[in-house]
Amino acid sequence: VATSRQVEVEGRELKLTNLDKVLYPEAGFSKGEVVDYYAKVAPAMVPHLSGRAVTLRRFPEGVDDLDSAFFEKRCPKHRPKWVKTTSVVAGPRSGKIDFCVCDGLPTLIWMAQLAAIELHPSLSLGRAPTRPTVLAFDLDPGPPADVVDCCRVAIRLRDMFGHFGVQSFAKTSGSKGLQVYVPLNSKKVSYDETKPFAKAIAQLLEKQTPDRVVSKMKKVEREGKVFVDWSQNHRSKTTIAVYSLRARERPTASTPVIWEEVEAVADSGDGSTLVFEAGAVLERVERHGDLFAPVLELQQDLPEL
Amino acid sequence: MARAIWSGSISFGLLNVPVKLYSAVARRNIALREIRESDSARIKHRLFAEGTEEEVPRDKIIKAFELTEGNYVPLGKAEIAALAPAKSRSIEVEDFVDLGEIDPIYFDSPYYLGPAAGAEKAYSLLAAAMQASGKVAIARFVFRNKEHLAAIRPNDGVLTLTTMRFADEVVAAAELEDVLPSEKPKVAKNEQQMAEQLIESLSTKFDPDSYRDEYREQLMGLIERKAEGKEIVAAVSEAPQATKAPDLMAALEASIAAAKGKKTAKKPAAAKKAKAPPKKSKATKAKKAPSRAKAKSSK
Repeated sequence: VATSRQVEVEGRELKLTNLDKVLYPEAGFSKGEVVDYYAKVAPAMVPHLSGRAVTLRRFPEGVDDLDSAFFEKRCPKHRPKWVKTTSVVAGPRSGKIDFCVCDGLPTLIWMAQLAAIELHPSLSLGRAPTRPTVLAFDLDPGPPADVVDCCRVAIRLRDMFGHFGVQSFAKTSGSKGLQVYVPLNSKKVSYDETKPFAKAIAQLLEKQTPDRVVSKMKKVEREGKVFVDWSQNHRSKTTIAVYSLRARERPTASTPVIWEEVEAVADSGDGSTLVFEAGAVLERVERHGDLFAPVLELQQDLPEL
Repeated sequence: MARAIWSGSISFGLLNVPVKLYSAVARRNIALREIRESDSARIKHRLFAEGTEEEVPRDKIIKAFELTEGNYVPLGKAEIAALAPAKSRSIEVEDFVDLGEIDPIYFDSPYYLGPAAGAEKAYSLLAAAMQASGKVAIARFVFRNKEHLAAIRPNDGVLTLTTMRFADEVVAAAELEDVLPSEKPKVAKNEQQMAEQLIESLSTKFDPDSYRDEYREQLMGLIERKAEGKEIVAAVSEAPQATKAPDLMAALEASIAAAKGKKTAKKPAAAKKAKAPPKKSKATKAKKAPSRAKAKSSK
């Protein structure tokens, strides 16, 4: 097997190296397979990344070697000329940083070639960095709570927004939790509104069932509860991209799911049906298309209180 | 708009840039009141002369230096004030140095310098020139009745001023020779290499946002929980405190309750596709009911 080769992707020249290097030792999943996954999932995934600042989480020595793993906000200097960037403030006290923007298959493959297993995009577009296109909730279970508990909280979130006639969509985090996205795609909204709103929702969930939900970050209070992380609704925060692989033992990905699947898990108490590895994700995309497409299209306003 | 806490001008050579000083620190300490446990009466402190119970009014209190025990050199307010450094409106730049040469141990409190009205251009010019030269200005100025040493440096077109400690205010490491290492003990090369590797593996970009005042968060959390749990002790003697503005969560809760009221007649027309057996809609409803009951009972 040739371990390094020059390829042309949509007219862009790329050098792929170390393709037989195993990045997921437990699953024997190689860098070549990572590149192959991203190449195949690109048609569904790229629209969700396009125009956004992306933070790369790179695992040059594989998912087991956390010492060599790193988050990369600044787009690498050695990038090919055709990789686009966007200049966005990375934090309240830091200046603007040129982040990578993934606007097509070649860039996605280039990122996979960098062993950027996890892609964490901004909730807003680079050209309008203060305007999130979605409201996002990251439901993170504190053991012994698990994804089943997350499903139950997600359904309550869906129903809360449902009361206001606002639709929401769920995806697995690809790790232990579940995420609920409320599409906005509205010119009127800013983080100044979405963040307090998300916080209020999280606080209300906690107030209703303080034994099952926490809205505060503190790890000690999270045991056996679902942490409703509202704080990602911030201009310098990022959330794992839909269809991004995660650096877990197995090559699982953040996968869009339909509410019926979430309800089924909440009812059965069996969360194993919400774990999707690369191959399963590709099959789902083939069969159902991009279940997360409405998140990019649906225009909704935050409910008026 | 932020309020200036001092105004004057930066001067060096023939240059004179009128500026205003703004605090760069938001004090986030949580203020706690003292109350009597039994009835929540506010505690007041009285000043009285030792040996008697006689209260002493503020204007009859002066300061004194205790020479030997019980022997005081009294110092009146006017006398102390007369010694205060002459009021000056000038930040006198004495030197320009490299930032890396200043040991952070000298830094005290950070401030922002903003341009005074009309001085915007001179200000930007100075900031740009300092940025280009990569130097930090060391200056003296009088602020709050004390002469301060300060470092002025540009940051993205904004000048910051950090007051500095004078050299004689900083304790030399040598003065703590009994507790700090004075001579280097022999270190095995591989041991040091291991330590260096560990440092390397933990090395990251400095992100001030990732460090939080956890004590403050915990204390605030405790206050919030106690407040939510209605464990608030109301003052008996005093008029009730102004209630907090209704928060977003309460508005949300009321709004959802109202929406639920409207919709109780018709079921949410959620699409139950073939995948979902009929029992599921029942289960969802059953789950909603107790959560509503809970929300009510906790009020």
